[in-house]
Amino acid sequence: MKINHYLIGFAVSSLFRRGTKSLFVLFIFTALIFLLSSILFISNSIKEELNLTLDSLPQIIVQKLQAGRQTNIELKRVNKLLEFQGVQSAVPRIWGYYYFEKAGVNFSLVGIDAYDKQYKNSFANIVKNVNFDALEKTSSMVVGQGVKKALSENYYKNYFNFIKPDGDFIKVPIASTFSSKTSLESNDIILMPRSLVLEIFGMDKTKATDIVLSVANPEEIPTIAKKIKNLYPDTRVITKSDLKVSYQNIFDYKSGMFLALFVISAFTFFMIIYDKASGLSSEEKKEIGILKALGWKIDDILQEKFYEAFIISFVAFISAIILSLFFVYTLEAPILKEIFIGYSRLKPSFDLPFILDVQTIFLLFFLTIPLYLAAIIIPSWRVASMDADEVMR
Amino acid sequence: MYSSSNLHEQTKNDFVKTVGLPDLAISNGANFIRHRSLSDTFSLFSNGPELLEYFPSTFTYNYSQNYKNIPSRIELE
Repeated sequence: MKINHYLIGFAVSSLFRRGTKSLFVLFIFTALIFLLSSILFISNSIKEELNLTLDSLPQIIVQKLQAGRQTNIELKRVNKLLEFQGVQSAVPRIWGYYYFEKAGVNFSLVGIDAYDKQYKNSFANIVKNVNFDALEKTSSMVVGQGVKKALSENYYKNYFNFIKPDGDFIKVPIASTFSSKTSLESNDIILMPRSLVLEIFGMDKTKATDIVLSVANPEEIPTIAKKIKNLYPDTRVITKSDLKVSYQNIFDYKSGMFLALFVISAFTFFMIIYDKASGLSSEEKKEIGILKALGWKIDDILQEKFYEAFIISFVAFISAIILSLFFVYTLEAPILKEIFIGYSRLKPSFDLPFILDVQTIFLLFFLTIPLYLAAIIIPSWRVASMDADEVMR
Repeated sequence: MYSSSNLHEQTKNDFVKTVGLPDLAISNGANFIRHRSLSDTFSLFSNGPELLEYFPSTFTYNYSQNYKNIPSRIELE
């Protein structure tokens, strides 16, 4: 098919002739695609951020359930777990949540063992100017940026008084903060020596929060998980692939605001289409009739209508995508990101990784533009196939 | 197809290796939504048996799908 430049010129001038109407359609179309693509971009970026660190997570996590709740697991079980063929190491972990009432936030306290030399290198990379061994010696803690901020707003500049279950205070100095590059992961985390966490939570020394296993051969993970489940029926065994599945489903379009936003915008869009499809205005009919009387063929008219609809929808689409890229990655998605964060007080700085998800863009393209083209061309075809004098009358 | 830059991948991986906990620090209004992929349908009941999930982020940020280990006849969607 040869592109007829005169037809394109005619289409553009006819768009300008109906200036307000074209502008209105352009605006609604842009707003709709902008809203949808912004939400999809944010959720894609968060998913990508989650998948980025998936490989560093433990291969198997063993938790104990009692009465349907997770409870502390006996340290004795560590040796039993180590006896399984293929298990390289089994490390009991101590971690939990500490509610800081004044700011109304939950901190995640993680205990770290100075004897675990495997952490030494990675620790040096995430915390500058604090030695791994010094943390143990001085009984101090490393906190995330958000924790640091919440504490200093409440006059804890250099230390924090944790309240033990028996009512006593433990004064823990802040040694350093995590690198701000990790703020999406580390914002609410406090890392401190294991013995301190045990004391703050008032935990039994013969127990741990959960046990993490590493397995030499990743192929064996499901078998080992099944064996653990058989040996200890009261445990919940979470493998890395379970986490992966849960990451896939984590931004479930469950309901609520997400869906509401989508429904409202989709409804607006279909209103426009309905309005368009239910018939052309008498003026537009007359125009088609005149063109036919001047000797235009049906496919000339349809081509001109196609150019008209395509120009308007494509311009709207491109500007919406550019706008939403700017909105999400440069302005860091004000308002919309609140959907994902909720109203938790400890908001991380939202440094989303820039992901140009071509799949999403194509999805949006084929979801919106063909529908709009059809809504323009089908009624025009109906009119154009009638007799010219009948249409003009 | 993805193109990405400026991800600080190494630092982030080092952090996750040290801490060993999944999920992003984007919701911490309640402890059962902080590590969503470790929590299950019943996690919120440890705060109180009559609770309903009411945090805005729980609308989008689902609990873990690892509920196959939990004995229950509750239908999950």
